[in-house]
Amino acid sequence: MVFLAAGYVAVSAVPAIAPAVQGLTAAAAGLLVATAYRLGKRSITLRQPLTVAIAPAALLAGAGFGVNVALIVLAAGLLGVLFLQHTPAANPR
Amino acid sequence: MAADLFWRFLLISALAFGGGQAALPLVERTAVAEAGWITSQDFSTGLAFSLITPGPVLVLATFIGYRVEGLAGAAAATLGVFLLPWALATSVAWQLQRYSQHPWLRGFGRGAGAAAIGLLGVTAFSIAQHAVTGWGFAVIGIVALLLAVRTRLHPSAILLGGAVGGFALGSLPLP
Repeated sequence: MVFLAAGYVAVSAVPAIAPAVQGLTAAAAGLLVATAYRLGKRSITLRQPLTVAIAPAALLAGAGFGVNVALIVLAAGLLGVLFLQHTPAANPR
Repeated sequence: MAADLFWRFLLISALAFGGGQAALPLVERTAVAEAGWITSQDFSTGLAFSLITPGPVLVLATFIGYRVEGLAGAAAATLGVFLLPWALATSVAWQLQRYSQHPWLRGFGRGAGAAAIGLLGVTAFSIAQHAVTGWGFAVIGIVALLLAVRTRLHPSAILLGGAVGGFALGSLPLP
């Protein structure tokens, strides 16, 4: 990784590289959304409605209000400690 | 600066519930928005490198550390981000087993994991707003998303495709 970082420093000043880096960045954004989708399928479930609420709340807090990300994670974790300790039954009677 | 890198990445690793990829928003917000160490473009490039190199995705910390302060920064950031997971992994096996299933830890992980998903959206938007400057780059992002969700194509191939697409767009004659 150090070699890659050093190489990037060397080539990033070349004008012809800029559109390639921009394309790479656009693709990376798409990959991140895909990652959120995949993780969401695993972690967010209607059986635990609080998880459905936490994700958009975190997005709003981070993007809309600029709340420190570490604080968001800590707060969500504490909510999890309080309300998400137990796995709900798959087929509640 | 090296100390700052170490402590911030140590904090990131402590909050990395859900795995390395779920910690990416923490890394991006810290490195780009809060500390201002690198640009969004640098972050995306570092992310691409971390996906194509062997090992965990949080080797991204090494890239960021190097960009900030050369080899010393790379070492500090790498140590910070991997020290805690290494320490936990080398704990006495029965202690680790005993605490990893504690309901509090499980609950914390569920809450933090859900937050990480929302925050991934923040990170994606943050890097997209600098990269998606026209329809061509928007198409690249959407195609990358669809390929990642619908196929088993390796992320490095998708990123390479994005870079090639971007290069092609840059080579198009302007109207």
